[in-house]
Amino acid sequence: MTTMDPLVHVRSVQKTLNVPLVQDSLIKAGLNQSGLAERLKVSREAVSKWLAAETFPSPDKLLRMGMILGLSFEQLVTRSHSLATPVVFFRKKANRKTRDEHLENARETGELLKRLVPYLPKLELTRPPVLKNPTGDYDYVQRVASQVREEMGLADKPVIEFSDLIEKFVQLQAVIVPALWGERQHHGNALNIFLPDSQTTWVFLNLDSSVVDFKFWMAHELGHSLAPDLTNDDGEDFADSFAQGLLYPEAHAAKLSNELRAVHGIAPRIARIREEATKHVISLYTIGRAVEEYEKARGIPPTDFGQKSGFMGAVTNFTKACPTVAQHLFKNPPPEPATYVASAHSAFESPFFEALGRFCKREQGSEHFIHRVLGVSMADAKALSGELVK
Amino acid sequence: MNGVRQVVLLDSNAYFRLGNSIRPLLQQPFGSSPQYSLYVLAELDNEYASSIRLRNKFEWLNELEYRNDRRVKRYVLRGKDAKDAATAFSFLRAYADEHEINVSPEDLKALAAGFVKGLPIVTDDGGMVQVADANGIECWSAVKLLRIMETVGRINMAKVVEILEYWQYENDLPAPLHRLRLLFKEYFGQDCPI
Repeated sequence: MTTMDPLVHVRSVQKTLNVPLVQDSLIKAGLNQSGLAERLKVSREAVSKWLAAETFPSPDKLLRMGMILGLSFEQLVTRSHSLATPVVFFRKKANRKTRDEHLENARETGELLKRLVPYLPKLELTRPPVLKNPTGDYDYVQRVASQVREEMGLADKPVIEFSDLIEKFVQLQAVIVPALWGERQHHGNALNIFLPDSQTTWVFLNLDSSVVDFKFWMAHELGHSLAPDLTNDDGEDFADSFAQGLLYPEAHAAKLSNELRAVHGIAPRIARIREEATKHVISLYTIGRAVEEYEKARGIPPTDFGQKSGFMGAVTNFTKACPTVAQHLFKNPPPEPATYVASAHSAFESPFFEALGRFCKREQGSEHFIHRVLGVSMADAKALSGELVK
Repeated sequence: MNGVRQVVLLDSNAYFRLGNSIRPLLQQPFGSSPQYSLYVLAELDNEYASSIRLRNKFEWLNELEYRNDRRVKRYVLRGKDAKDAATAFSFLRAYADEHEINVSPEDLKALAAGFVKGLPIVTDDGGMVQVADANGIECWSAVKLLRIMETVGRINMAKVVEILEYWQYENDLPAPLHRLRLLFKEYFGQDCPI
């Protein structure tokens, strides 16, 4: 198979010192340019040229300047990238500190992924169609979900399978990255990164999540891939609604809403929702939300199925009782590297490990790269690298 | 104690390569001027605990003898040193990213610790050495450490040969064989026994 030319990828970064901050920090440190030059064992002229942006310090002098002035690289240096910053789809509502760390890590992952792009199998020259003006409006989302089901040839199919979702990812030219991140909370189980310069989408999915959550996250990330221009909370809301509409569309929600109202008592209603969840291999929560939103949109009084008394407990119990995707795919997780790599290709039709294999064959120390991109231990990264260069 | 004390940090791989061949590796200082004292970083045990593969490959690490050896020779930075190391880490990471050098955050933290405290780090990792060289941080190869240990009588030549053969048997040479031979010749002034 032909690959994109690795030489096409050239990274160029323009760096300058943050001069006002340097000058302010010099004052705080009780130093002038001569004093700084003396501490750094360079001439005063050299420092003067750095501050006039005529030259830039060598890495070792820059590091020492940062230590003397108490400034991190990000504070001391202003960078203008020639390549666009990765777009990370991420909900803003999370705890701020966690959010900032997660976002920073995800952007870093995006920067690393840029290095894999040249090794991907040749991509289509055209970008697949995306939604024009996506919104979170109920009717709009239902129309989109219905259209996507039709395009996928699933208009009359009541239950969407994993393979249907994977096929749609392939059509959208998204690269699925099957990750083994252990158990994580909600939004930590999937990550969607769009690289504007190469127009590539990378979708990380945590195989250590339960099959019902995994299916939802797949559909959610599909929503992002269809609406790449919708970012932040609007993008997250759209992706959530789209996933729900795709996996459990209005017709299902309407039928279930009627059935639930005909049943008396919370427990039997939850039991009925559980039957639907089992049939569709999705969470009780997804179904409950689909019913609520349908009733709200159509002006129907909300059905009580124990949202304040027992429903969330049932959601948790049902999810816990479901196997994880890793348990489903591999008999005894964690899998051996060869099994892991093979499953990415066979179960997800993903070119990820193919590209990573090419990268490993050309690059020194690729285990460090794997360690950072996939979030696995160094030992696992080494084993994986060894498998990929075979 | 005679002379100056020279603390030397070992990266994880250097410890994995030497820890069960020279016993105890860490607790017994060697040399007199300076007197060398080896340490590992606290991250080593976290890395080991989180990896099934490492636990399988280096079962000996979990034995009491080795746990005790590491317990008192775990290098931890605190207060201003920890803050300075975080600052240094930001520069090293930016350099590695810009030059597309494959090196893990844990390794960069080891280099940052070495830089802040002015300590050499024993590593044979190509990426770490590249980042260290560019930023004026001192790195030693495992072969250099063996030579120092042999020179001051901490180990003898037979032990050096045994270690080299063990690395070869385990398919865990610190460098490709041709480079290892050059390195050995450079430090020991004689042909490499493997």
